[in-house]
Amino acid sequence: MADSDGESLYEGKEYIPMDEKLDKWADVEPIEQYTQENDPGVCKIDYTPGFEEAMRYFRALLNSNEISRRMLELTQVVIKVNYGCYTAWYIRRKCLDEIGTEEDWQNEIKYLNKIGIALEKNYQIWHHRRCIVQKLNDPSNEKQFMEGILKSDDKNYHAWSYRIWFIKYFNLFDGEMEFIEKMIQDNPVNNSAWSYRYFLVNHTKEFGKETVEQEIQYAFQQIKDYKLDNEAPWVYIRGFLAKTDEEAKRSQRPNSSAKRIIITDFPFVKETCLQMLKDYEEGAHGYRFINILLLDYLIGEGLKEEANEVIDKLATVYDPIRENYWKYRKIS
Amino acid sequence: MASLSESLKDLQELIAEFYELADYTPLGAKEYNEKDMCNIDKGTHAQFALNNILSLNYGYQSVDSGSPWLPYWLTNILEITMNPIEELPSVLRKKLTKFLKNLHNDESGGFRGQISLQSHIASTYGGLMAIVNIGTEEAYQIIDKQKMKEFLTEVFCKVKQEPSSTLKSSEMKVGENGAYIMHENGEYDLRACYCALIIADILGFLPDPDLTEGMSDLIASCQTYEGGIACNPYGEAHAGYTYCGLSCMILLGEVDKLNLDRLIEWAVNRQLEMEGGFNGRINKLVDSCYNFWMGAIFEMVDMATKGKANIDGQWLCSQLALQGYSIFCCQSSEGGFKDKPRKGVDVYHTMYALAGTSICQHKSHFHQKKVEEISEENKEDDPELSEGDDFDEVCILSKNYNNLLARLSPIYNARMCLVKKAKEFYKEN
Repeated sequence: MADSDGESLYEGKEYIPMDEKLDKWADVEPIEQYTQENDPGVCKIDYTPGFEEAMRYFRALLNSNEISRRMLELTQVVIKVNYGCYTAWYIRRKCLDEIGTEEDWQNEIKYLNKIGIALEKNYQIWHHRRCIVQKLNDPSNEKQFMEGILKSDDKNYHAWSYRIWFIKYFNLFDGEMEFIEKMIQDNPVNNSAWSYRYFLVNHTKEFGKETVEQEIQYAFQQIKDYKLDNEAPWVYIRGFLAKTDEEAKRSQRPNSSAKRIIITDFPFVKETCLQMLKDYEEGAHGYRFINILLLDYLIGEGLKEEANEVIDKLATVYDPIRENYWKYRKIS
Repeated sequence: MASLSESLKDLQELIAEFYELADYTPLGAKEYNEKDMCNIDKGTHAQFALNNILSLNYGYQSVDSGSPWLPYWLTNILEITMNPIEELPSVLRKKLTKFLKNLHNDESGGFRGQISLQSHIASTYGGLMAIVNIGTEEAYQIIDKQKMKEFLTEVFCKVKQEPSSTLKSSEMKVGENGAYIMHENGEYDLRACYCALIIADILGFLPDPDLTEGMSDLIASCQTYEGGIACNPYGEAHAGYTYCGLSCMILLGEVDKLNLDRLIEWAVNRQLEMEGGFNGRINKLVDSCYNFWMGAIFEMVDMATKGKANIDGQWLCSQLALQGYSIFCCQSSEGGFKDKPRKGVDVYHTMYALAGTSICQHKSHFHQKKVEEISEENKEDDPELSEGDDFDEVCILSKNYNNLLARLSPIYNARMCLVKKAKEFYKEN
C-alpha cells in the first residue's frame, strides 16, 4: 500500500500532538470513530496515532459545522496524514471561500506546489488545484508546476488530464506543439505524450489530408529513429486512418472535429510498410506492427486474399499471443 | 528516461526467471501440462480475506476514506474462491452489516467513505456491492432507496455548469453534461458514471432519463483514437475507464455509439506477449488488477456483439497466458496476490487478480448455448443473467480443475445469482 503516514511531505517538521496546543483546541471534544455501541468489530484498520488523532478532531469540527481559521489549519493536518479524505479538501475550499484573505488564496497555490509531487497520484489534490486556479482565474503557475510533476513521472495520468483542462480553459495553446515534441523526443515510448499530441492537433489544426500526412510522417520517423517495437506511434498513425468510408463515419465522436481519413488516400503508407518489411528482419520485435498497418491498407483496397494472408501470418508467426483475435479478424 | 525502460527490462527478466522455474512460457501455455506447478490455493486466499476482515494493517489507511469498498473486496474474494458468504457464521455477516450501516448516510442518502464524511458515489457503489454479497434482508434494508435517488440526482450533471470565477470554489460543479461527480463539489470522470449506473440498475431506478441523459454521448466522446476509453474527452485510453465506459454503454443499450472494432483492437493489445498479463495503457507495465479491468472487457464485447466476439467460446485474448501470469508471478504462498513480482500483497489486487482470473477461466454463454442448443426465448435477450457456475466447459491452465473459481458477471463484478437476488428484493421493497 502507498505510504499513508504523509511524513515525507513535511520533512524535518515534527508532528505536534493536538493536546500540546491546548489553548487552541481546549474547547473541542474529539469524537471517536466508534463508540462501544456501534463498533462493528470487523474491517478495522490499525491506524497510526497521528492519523487517528487528526480524524478525531476533524470529526468534532465537522459535526459542529465549524468554518474557521483553526478548521483551515486542521484540514492541513488531516491532509498530511490522510490525503484521500475528500471532505477535508472540500472543507478547505469552504474555509477559503468564507474566511480566506487574499494572502490565504495565494498561499494555497504555494502549498499545493509544495505537496504536489508527493501527492501526484492522489485524485483530490488535482481537483482542488483546478477549483483554486479557476477561482483565482490565474494559470500563470501551471506550466512551471507541470514541469516538476512530469519530470517525476512523465506518464502521470492525472497530470495530463489536468494539462488538457487548463490549456483548453485558459486557451494557452501557444508553444504547446514545441513542448510536446520535446516530450516525445525525450521519451518516445511515452504514450501519454502521443495522446496529448493528438489533442493538440485536434484543437489547433484542420483535420485535412495535409495535417494527417504530416502527422503520419512524423510518427514514422520516430519509429525509424527510435525503435520498431513502440506501440505508441503505430497506434497514433492508425488513429488518423479509416479502412472504409463506413468506418470513418462510425468513428466520428460527438462534439469533436476529429475524424479519420480513408487510408488509401495515402499511398505512401503502403509503400513505407512494404519497405519496412524488407528493412527489418521477420523476428524483429514489433514486426507485427508493420503488418497490422499494411493489413488496414489491404482491407482499404478490398484485397481480401492478401489481407487474409497477412492475418494468417499474424496469428501464427508475428503475433501468436493474439491468435484468437486474428482468427476473429479473418475475412470470410 | 532510460530508467523507465530499464525497470521494464528488470521486470521482464524477473518474470522470465519465474516462468523458467516452472518450465512455462505464455506462448506455450496451451501445451503446458505441469498440473502440480500451477495450483491456485483457494483456501489460503480465503483465509487471507478472513484475516483481513478481522483486522487490517495501517497500510489500509490510504483507503480509509473509501472504507465501504473493504467489505466488498473481502467478501468478493470469499465468493470467488467458492467460500460463499452464506456459509459464514451469521455473526460475521451481522458484523459486516453493522460496519456498513454505520457508513450509510441517513440524511442525504448513499454511503460515506468514512464516518462523518460526505456521501461519495464510489463508496456508495462499494457499499452496495458488499450488501449484494452479504445477501441478507437485514443488509439490503440498510439502503434508503428514496434518499439514494435524491443523492444520485444531486451528483448528476444534467446541464453543464458554465465555468466562471465568480462561483465559490466550494460550489463549483465541474462535470460535463451527462457526467456524475464523485461527491458534492467533487471531481468527475467515468468511474462515477459506472458506479451511479450500477447503483441505479440494482435498485431498479432504470430506465430514467433524469439519471442518464447525455451519458452515452459523453462516454462516446471519451473513446480515443487508440480505441479505448479515457477518463474524460481528449484523454488517454485506460483499462479502468474503458471498463467503466463499456459497462455503462451495455447497461444503457447504446454500445452502437462506440467504435467497437477499435475498442477490441486496443484491448487485445493490452496483453503482453512476454508477461502474459495485461497493462492498462500503451507502453505501461503489467499489473494484476488489470486481470479484471481488461479481462472483463473481453466478455463484455462478446455480450455486446451477441456472441460474435469469441472463438469456440474463448475470449479474444489468451486466457491461459493470463492465468499463468496470476499464478506464477502474483500469487503469494501466504495468501493474496500482488500487482507484480517484488511487490507486497493487498486486498485490492487480490480481489481484482482473482476476479480477472475467474473471467479468463470461463467461456462465452453464447457458445454454451450453441453447443447445448438451448433456445429458450426468455434467456436469449439477457444472456448475462444466466448463472454460469455449473458449466463444465471451461478453460483452465494445465487442465487443473481444482483451480476453478466461481463465475462472475463481468458488468457487476459479483456472482450473478447474488445480484439477481438483490435486484428482486429492491424491486419489491
